[in-house]
Amino acid sequence: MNNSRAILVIVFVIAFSGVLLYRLFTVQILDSNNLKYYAKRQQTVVEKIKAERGFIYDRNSVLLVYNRNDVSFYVDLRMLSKKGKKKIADKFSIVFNKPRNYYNNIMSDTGKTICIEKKASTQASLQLKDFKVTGLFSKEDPTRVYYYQDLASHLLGYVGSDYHGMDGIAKSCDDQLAGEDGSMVVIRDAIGDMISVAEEETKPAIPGDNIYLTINKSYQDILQQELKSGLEKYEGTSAGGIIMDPNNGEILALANSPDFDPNEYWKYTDTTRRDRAVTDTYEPGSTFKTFSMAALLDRNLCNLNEKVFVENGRYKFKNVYITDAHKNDWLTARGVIEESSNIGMSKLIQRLNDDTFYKYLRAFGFGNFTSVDLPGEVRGLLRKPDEWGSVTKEFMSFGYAVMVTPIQLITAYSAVINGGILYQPQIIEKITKHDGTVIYNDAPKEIRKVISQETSARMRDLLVGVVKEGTGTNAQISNVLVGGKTGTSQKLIDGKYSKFDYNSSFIGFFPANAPKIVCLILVNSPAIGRYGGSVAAPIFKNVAQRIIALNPGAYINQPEEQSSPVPEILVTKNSNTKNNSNNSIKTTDTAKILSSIGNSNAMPDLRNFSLRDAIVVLMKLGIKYRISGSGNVDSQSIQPGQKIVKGLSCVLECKEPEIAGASVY
Amino acid sequence: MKKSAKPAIFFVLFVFVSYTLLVLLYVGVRLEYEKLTKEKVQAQQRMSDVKNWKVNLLAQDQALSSEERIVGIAQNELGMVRDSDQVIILSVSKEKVEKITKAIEKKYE
Repeated sequence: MNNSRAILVIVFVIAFSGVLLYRLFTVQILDSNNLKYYAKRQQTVVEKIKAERGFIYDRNSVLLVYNRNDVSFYVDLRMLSKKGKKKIADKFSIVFNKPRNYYNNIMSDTGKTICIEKKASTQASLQLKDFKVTGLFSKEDPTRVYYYQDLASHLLGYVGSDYHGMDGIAKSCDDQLAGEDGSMVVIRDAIGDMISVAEEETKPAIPGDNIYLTINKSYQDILQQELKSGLEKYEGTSAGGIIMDPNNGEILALANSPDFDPNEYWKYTDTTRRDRAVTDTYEPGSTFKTFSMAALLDRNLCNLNEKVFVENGRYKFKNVYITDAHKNDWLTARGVIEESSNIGMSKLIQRLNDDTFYKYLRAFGFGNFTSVDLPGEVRGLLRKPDEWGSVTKEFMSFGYAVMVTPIQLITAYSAVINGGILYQPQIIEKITKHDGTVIYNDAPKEIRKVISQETSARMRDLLVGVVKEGTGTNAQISNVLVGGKTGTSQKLIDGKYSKFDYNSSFIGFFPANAPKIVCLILVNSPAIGRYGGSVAAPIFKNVAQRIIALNPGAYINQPEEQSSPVPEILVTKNSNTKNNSNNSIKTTDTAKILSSIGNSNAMPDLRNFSLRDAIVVLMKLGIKYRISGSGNVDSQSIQPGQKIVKGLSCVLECKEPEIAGASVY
Repeated sequence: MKKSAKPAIFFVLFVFVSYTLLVLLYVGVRLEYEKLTKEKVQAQQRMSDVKNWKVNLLAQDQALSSEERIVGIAQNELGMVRDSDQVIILSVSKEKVEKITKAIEKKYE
């Protein structure tokens, strides 16, 4: 009996063991793949490691934009008990200083996952580190921080909810800033707490690159403050401004007013968020005369001292009336710019043929992208000569029938005053990796030489006159030589020029003898004042004064330099001119040239003379000559000022005038 | 027969115990590894938070020590006046200085 009982127990144990072994075999061998799959699915979660977005600095390494590791808290209401809800409401109301009812109301729904605290700071989330309730979980939610709120908002842009750039540098450099997201496999327990991480399956995130902009935070601050106060003072609808280094095209500040806070970009309209300095075009008005005059001077078609009849403020040209704001009868060509005479300019520009004028404007970059690293740039409008009407050229000469963006205007203006070189505007100074390795260093990009150095020097001198004695006197600054040009243009509304809405602008530079700063101010539809000289010029002055105050030594006048007059050269006739104005007193006849030489026994400077005039002068002086080439005199073998000895022979090297390096079609 | 069976049982037991110990050791090491990995990830997260905080402090430091802020406080709260409004430049030519120096030297020699 005992034996049979023992055998029964043994059989039972063996049978039980057999069942266990069979089950073990099934689980471990037969169903192992399926079970492994389900286990992995339940216990592991592939989590994205968000790459840290690159920082943005100004040119002096002042940090403008960075990231903050915020945390968002969620509750799964299907898992949350009544007790749990109460615990959460109690704790969160203490940590976040909000009433309990706030959380109770949020959690009053059932059956879904809701966010109860969005983007909580790291400090707050640390207080909740050990607070565990089933159904409560947290998620990293990085925030882009624009430390100086609205500072350079249009330049910096902003990031959307997906953390990708939506505008400004944030958009144009999104690839560099974004970095590369990584991933990790997290093993979690039944209630979702982390057990461990599968390291072998972890792919680390690569942080984004850091961008150093060319802007100067101090200048940006000044420009924004002055634009804002100017807009309030003159009751304009909007204003814009750009500060640039004319010697390399670096943008030192760019602002539009009103601006916005990129930290809360959704609170502003699209119009406010748009970088109007790059995306919006306008008819520049008289600031454009600068380019017309530069073209005339570069072609030696205008003498700044010659007189032009400006018709007492009203001029009928081909059945169209051109008017001046300031009535005059006669003005010198210098006076035409200083007094901003539309009539004078429209008469002078008739000496330049259509194609040449168009070539100059294209060479200055109008009608084309400046290729600045900012999104949404437009070309503006510059029609080809075959699309021009009978008065288009004349109207273009004083800034109508042409549309430009502020960035185009200041870029072209820089070329006028920097010696004639057009640079691509730059906004990025360098890009570094997260560890500081420089991967991109932006050098000035010279596009082309538009006008000669001499023309540029004469233009600077001319523009100084505008501020000293012309329409821009409100931009004068004591101890600093300032040059500039005012602009007032009627706005085209519903196909008609408005008599009430104007664009008032001023573009100025300093120190005028060696410009380091060029600044454009544009006020849209000012209610108080109208002219660029009375609205935009004072804003420019305030900006300039504050910039100078930051480093007075860099800008104050050097007395011996400021009074270096640019020698005036004589005018030659342009054989290509379609319409020659009869109202200008020209100094092109030989008699005048000879009278300017006087009875001196020194060799005159014949450079830039037309060949015909040079020959007349040499014959009069009894000098034999030999000619090489054609066009205007480029160089002479007897140097100017050298004593003339009878029997001397002078070799004249001639050259056709051209726009150096321009490739404009 | 009896003498030879004992060592075999001991050997089997020894192997079984050793294997069990090794398995337990493996499980223990594995658990410790997972715990350390978790701590490492959490430490990395804390480090990232600290770095972010440091960056935030750097931005605050730059804002607080900026020239505009200091000048603003000096002018608006302390009533100080900047000395750069009236810059007077005295320029004397080098030649003139030398000429005067020579004249003085000649006079007092």
